[in-house]
Amino acid sequence: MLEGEDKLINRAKKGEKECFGQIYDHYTPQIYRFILLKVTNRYEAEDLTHDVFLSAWQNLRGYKSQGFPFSSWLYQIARNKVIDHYRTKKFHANVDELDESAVKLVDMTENNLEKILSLEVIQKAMRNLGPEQQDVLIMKFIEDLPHRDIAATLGKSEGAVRLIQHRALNALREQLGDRSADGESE
Amino acid sequence: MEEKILQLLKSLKILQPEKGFLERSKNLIISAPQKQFPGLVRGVLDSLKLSMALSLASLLLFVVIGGFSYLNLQKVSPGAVSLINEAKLRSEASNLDFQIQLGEVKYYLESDEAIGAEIDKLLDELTL
Repeated sequence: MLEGEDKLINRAKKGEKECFGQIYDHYTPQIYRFILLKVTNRYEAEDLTHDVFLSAWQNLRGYKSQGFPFSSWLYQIARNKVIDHYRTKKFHANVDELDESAVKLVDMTENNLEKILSLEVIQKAMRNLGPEQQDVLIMKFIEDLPHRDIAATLGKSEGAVRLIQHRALNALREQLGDRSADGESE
Repeated sequence: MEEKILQLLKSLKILQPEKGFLERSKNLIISAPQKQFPGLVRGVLDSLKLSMALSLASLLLFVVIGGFSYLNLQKVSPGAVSLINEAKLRSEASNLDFQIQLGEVKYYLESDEAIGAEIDKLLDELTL
């Protein structure tokens, strides 16, 4: 959470651009990552990230804190933007056409398992998960958000979030296991 | 395996937006005007909610007080009691009683006469 966040938000609500600029600088990387892992390339991620913060800025006066961090609100906007993006484009990600330039691969000189479990592979594997499973994994393990905040963002109970997390990890393990088996057979 | 997955997930934090994009996007966003509607609409809705609540509370209070006044009109309502004149009521009641008594006397007199006439008639018939 950003230091003095409530004051910054209140000032930004009154139209102080510099305050929203600070909020933007703090939260953009995580919202960008969240979107990038759900779309096919960084250009789409940039466009959607821009839309998220534009919506946040334009609708900031309607924002009311409900005891959850401001990031929960931003994640909710981001989720809706991604859903709208796929709905309007009627576009389904083809993992073979992904832009991989955004992913820094792990050291390919390590052993076979580490090659398979590269960032590229895990990114592709995550794209095969359901949207909620992706959301939970990104927010929990990449952004280190507590279950309470994730639950608030997704509109679910903490128990439900833990269950989604458990299933997502199992699904990821299965996918990576399959890839590992394919790799060994090749 | 799971630890490795978690480690790799955490390492996805290296994904960062480009600085050029950040500057460009931020400048475009903060140069856009903020919407006034949500605040205005919210304010109107909030005031509507308040006025609705006050109206309903007033209506409820009116119904409750009105109901009590209606049910206990003769016992409770001081306005209704003041309209009743006790002396007048008593005189009306006694007059009513008096008129009933006069009516009874008249009835008995008339019936006595009729009965007497009938008895006389019967006696005449018997004597004949």
